[in-house]
Amino acid sequence: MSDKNKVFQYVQLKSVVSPDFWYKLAETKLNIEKLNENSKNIFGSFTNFNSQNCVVNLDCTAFNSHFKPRINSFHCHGTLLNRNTIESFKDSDKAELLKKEGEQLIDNIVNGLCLEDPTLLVPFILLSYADLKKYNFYYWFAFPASIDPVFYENSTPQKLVDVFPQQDIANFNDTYRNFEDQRLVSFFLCNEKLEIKLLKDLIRCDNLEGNLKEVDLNLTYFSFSDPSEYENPAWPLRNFVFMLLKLCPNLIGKQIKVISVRQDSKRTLTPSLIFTLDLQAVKINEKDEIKWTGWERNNQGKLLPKMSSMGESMDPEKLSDHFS
Amino acid sequence: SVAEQLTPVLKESKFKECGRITPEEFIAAGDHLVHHCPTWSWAAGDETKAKSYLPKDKQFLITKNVPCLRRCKQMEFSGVERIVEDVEGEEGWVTHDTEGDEDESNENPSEMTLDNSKIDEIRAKNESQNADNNSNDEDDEGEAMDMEDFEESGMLDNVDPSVAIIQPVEKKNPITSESDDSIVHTRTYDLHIVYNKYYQTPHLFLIGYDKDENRKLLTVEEMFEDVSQDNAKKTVTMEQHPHLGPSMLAVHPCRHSDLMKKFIQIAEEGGNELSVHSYLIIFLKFVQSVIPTINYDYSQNITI
Repeated sequence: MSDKNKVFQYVQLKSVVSPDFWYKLAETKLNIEKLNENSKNIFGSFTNFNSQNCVVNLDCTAFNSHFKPRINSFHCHGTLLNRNTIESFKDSDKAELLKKEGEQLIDNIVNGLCLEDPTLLVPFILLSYADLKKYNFYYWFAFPASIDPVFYENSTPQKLVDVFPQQDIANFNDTYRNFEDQRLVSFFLCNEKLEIKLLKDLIRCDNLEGNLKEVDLNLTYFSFSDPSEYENPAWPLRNFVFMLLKLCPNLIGKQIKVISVRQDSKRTLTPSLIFTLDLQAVKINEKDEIKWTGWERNNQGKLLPKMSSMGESMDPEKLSDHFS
Repeated sequence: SVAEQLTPVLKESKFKECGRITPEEFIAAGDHLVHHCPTWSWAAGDETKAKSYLPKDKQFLITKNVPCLRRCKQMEFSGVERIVEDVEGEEGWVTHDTEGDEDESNENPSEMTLDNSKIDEIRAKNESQNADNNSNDEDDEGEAMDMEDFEESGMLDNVDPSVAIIQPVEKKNPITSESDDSIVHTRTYDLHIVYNKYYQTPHLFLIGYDKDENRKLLTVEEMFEDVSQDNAKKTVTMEQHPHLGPSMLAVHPCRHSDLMKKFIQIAEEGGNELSVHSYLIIFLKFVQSVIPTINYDYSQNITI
């Protein structure tokens, strides 16, 4: 097959930050955190409903204690590092931050937390500096992932609708969309009838050799909610496969099928794809050998932070011009 | 506002009588909207700003990335507007003949006939804006740091073969004239429907982005270009979003209940009864006259 030996590639996530996020960040900084530079847990979300550009959205709800993403959206778990000065923003050791966050991810995988809440597979770092005199916010996102293993795609992706009968897809869509705890269908398994099986019910972190041992991989679909609209899946699949290889050594050397669940604007699953991954030559690195990647590139493809000017909607002086 | 804080929550239905709704009716109408138009959804907002008379997860309604392909300001040059409503002797709402012409305009740009002086004006404005953008990159006032200063060596050492490089699709903007200078940027808007306790009506907030410039936030003046010029700065002003914090454009709700009452009357005269569930769908229909070029979704056709 002509596609043999094509490296399997993912589309990186792209951050989109709403003005109300910066408003809340400024409010928190002025009233609560002040000069505190400790890291803070925040939330973002991604959606596979009518999605564009593999976006992770952040708004003021990122700071809510009970974060509930909009319907058909999924948690992303962030670490906010808001620096007090532009120098400390600039001088932060980016590689070290990435490594630390990546190792946290491994811990969450190994101790089973990601099985209980699969959205933990989508962590991010937000390094920021808020210039509150000018209402300028400098920021840089990272979506950590291990560079290895690199593996190959065995064939071109198939369409879900070409593989499964309509009725199975309709039943699946119904269960999927109305799943009570959406987090559990961020990453999950399906059988040959597209019935949803939860990770926590099939994989254990205390008996790795037994994981998925009896399972027929031809009838098993590793599934995830994919914010990509491209032929490549989005970044979150990367950490899912990483986890599967870490927890299910039986998969190494085999081929697995992956359903990328995507909804169009009418909430049908027509855009969904099925990928076949060849896990033959994978190499599992030990924790300290892992090379991490994930700092977001700007629109020109450069590894540079971004800046948002919020004067128009936050600066009392500028706003008063529009009230007059 | 203070007035809003002091106004008791409307308990009994005043929908038929006054065109106003209770929070419960707002929720019912919102559920109906979300059900029929899946691009709308409920939002919680900042939990420290949550209103106690609304459920935690259903504080307001939101739809994101609504395309706005052309400037309302330009549309009005072609004189397609007319005044249809004259609410009780007050200054009328201005509406536009937009029905169906969104689609046509994509194939038939010549429909937007601007006279030459206006084209020159827009061209000059675009040029000066481009010049600003080029010289100052992201900040109009040139106060921001040059992002290239943040470039670090060593970060590219880890080569990652598994990254798909997606070439940005050069989507041709449907509204371009022969000259490159007068390309109309596609903008996107986020629309929010908030419950206004004082007026006991929905309250529309909107915020816009430049899609062609990396989703850069529009300036207030730019956003006013997408508001019907008769409403800009009168019924539409900058207001602080009660659930989020920052200021956004807002359509003042003072006339909503009167208009709604009118809709109910017209429906009754035609022998139909408007249900309170349809409130927001009708609301979105009449708000369209204020923001005629923002193509948000309303899937139901209400016949009156």
